[in-house]
Amino acid sequence: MTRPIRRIAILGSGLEAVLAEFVLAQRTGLEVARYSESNTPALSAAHSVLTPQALQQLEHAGLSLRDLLGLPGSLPTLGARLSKEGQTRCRPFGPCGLDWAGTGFHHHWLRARHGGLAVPYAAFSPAYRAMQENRFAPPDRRNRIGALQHESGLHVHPAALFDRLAQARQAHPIHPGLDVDADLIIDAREVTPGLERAETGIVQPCSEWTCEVGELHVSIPLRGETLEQRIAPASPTTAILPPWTGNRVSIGQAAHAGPCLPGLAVERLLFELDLLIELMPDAACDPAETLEYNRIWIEEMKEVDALVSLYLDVENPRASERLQMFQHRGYVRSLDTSLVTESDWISHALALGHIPRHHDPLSHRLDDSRLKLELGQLLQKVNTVSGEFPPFAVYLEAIDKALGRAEETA
Amino acid sequence: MKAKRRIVIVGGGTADWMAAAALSAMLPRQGFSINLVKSEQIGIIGVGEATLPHLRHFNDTIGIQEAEFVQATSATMKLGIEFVNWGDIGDRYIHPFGTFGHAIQGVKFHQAWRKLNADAGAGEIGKYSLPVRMFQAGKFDIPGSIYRSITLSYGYAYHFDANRYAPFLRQISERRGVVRTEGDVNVVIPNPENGEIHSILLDNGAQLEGDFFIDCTGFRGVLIEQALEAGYEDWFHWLPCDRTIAVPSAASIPTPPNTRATAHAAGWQWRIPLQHRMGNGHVYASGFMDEDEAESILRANIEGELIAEPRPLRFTTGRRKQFWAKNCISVGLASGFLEPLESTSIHPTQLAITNFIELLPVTSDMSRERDEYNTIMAREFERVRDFLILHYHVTRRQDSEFWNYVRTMEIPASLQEKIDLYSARGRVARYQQGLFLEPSWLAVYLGQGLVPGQPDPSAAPLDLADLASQFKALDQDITAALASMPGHDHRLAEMLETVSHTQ
Repeated sequence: MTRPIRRIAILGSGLEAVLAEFVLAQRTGLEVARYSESNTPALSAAHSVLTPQALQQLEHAGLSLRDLLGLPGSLPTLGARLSKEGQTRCRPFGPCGLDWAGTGFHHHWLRARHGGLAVPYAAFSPAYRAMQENRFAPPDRRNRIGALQHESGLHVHPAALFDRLAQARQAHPIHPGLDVDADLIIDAREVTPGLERAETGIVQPCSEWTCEVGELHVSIPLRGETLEQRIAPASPTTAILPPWTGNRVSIGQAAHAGPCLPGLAVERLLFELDLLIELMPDAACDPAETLEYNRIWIEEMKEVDALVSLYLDVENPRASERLQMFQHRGYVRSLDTSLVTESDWISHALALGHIPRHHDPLSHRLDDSRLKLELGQLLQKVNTVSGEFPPFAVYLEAIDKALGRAEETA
Repeated sequence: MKAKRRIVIVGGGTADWMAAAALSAMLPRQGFSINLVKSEQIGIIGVGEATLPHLRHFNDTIGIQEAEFVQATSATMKLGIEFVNWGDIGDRYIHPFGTFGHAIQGVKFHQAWRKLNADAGAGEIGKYSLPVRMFQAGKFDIPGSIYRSITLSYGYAYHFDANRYAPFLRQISERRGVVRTEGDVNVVIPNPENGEIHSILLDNGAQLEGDFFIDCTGFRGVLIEQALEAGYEDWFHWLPCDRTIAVPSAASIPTPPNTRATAHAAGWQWRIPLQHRMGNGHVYASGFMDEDEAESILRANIEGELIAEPRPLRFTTGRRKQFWAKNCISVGLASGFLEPLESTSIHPTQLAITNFIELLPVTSDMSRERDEYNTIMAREFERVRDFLILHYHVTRRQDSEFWNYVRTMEIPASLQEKIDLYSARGRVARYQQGLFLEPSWLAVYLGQGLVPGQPDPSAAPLDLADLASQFKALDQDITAALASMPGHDHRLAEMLETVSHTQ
């Protein structure tokens, strides 16, 4: 009989390390110690976007939305606004439109677009108009669009999140020659920290992504400041290698230093921790669990890399193949991965202006007049609902009042 | 006006009418013509009478009313498959269409059950599965019929008479404009420019042109293999059963709401209850047993009186190397064969049709759709293959040459990894897609006695007294749900009554 894991050591001085410490301590009840090589936290703007999925997972780990909203600088977000080659498009969180007659909504939209429709795909989410008009409301299933809800995320200041997570948790100093006493060692050392600030722009419920040649420039508004992130292709040596060997597993940037889209960085880390908890070994790590973790992780990272490559104009065979198929007929295969799904591909590809040449022939089960009617009615409902959202500033005041910090807003 | 695209289904069996019914229901009528060439020589093999819950979705898509289907095909309800003598002679377990319990404090139910069972005894895990208990009690109801969340923890499928399903689908298809042409394919005429099928010449002299062809000609693969030479990947070395003998017997009451698969010395025997008869068959490996012995084992293990002569069939387990070649897809037995141990003979047909509909070519260059379709179908076949091999390989049986072979044979690495993972601490490999997901793998691992070496650390913090109380509450919940459920025959009769009232 092997000995159960009692002590986990996490190496790292950044947000990824402290987040791993928090989640593992909360969810496993094991003794978790963090070892840091620096007293200054290594922070990155990559961790300032919390997607709706990340918020859910953090809630599961004991960090509520209320907690996060209360952090200095936190700002709710509805998604991203993307600029590429002089065109701007939105990519809201959550779905756009509704599937009809067994066919995905984007096929119906494509068909209408091929027929002359000028309304963008994202306009079939309430978040679209809200982003345009600087309004905000969280999803509310009681309103007239029922299942067709937008979703909301949160921009947080990495330093504020770090402080919140590190509360009452003292990191041990690490130095050369230190023998870390632990059953499982988690390497969470970030390799590309950097927090670039910009002048405060408009306080708006979305981030701004600008695709430049071979680079993605992201502005993430917070209350009081805006963070900037430049996402560039990885160096050719950044390979996807199995992160778990023996009793040592790397997570986050320490596992794969390739570029990551805003939002995906935290989501990915939470995914890794969730998988690690699911496969938590005994003190003597079993090769079967290691193999399973590595198998799943590698597949997830390949999908992440493929998606990121859409933004950075780098060669990625998986992305090329998928994009060619999408551009041909709007089809994306059902994926086995959690971090990147087929609907992510559809929304990212459309937001980047990749408009398929053909749509699914099954869309024609709705005749032209019915399609026009359905789309018109849907758009009207969506616009009515989003038109009722309060101005963002009013919503923020209400949040402040609820959190008891009205004076801060003033 | 744009010309209609012509789809020609070359048939036989059940697959052709399944394809015709689905295509005529799903494709916009103004854009397509569907012609079905029926070759009576092929006939219906009809071993695919036991199905998976996915068939309900297929029927829904076609617009079939459940009660009408049940009446037309003499169907009965199916909650899972009972496996007898697989782990060892005398062993018995059920693979239910549903879950075992629910997660407890974030810990998977089976891991919590292992902890409680090891420390204090919790009884068979099936005790905490509603479909298993329904099967044991001979009960059936539609999921969610009563207001208890536990009644959403299962699905169901059907046993039906494949010989009656095809005519039922034919009626529906013809009403929707499918044209049937009598005849058998004599010559396949290629397009000299691209090698695609241009037309088929029938034995009655008729010639049919098409833009797309669907080969449902069974093992012969008249279009996909004989004309297009798509190739076949043989899995005989992993699944050595290659023969079957099928025979119906008299129906029995009460009708069991499950399929039974009983392992014998060199294969296994199915029992599929229909309203009017019991379907039986012995799948065996001819390399380990001759036909006479196989038939005598079958006869000796049938409960009711035989109502026809036994019918032998041969097959080669495997898959078409290219499911879609040129402008032709293979459907049903033409695409491959997986023995129906987990009721997977109808499902590949359904999968082929639904994937084809999803990837219906949008231009004359269909290479992208073809590559995608072949990738998806290969993945699905291989995942089912691994699941079938599991049944043979994870056994303690040493009573025959056959079992010694399958128990010790080298298995695909993809399967070995899954078994190793479960053997360590009872964890089941994660997949989002695929036919058989975690509850199915668990049913077989647990049912066939694969015991993990270690407990799962995630279950360690669970309090035993608290666990015992939660398990008791679950047991009581299931018992209460069962008490309000009708017997299987009673529920079937109620359903059939609704058809007679509407006629």
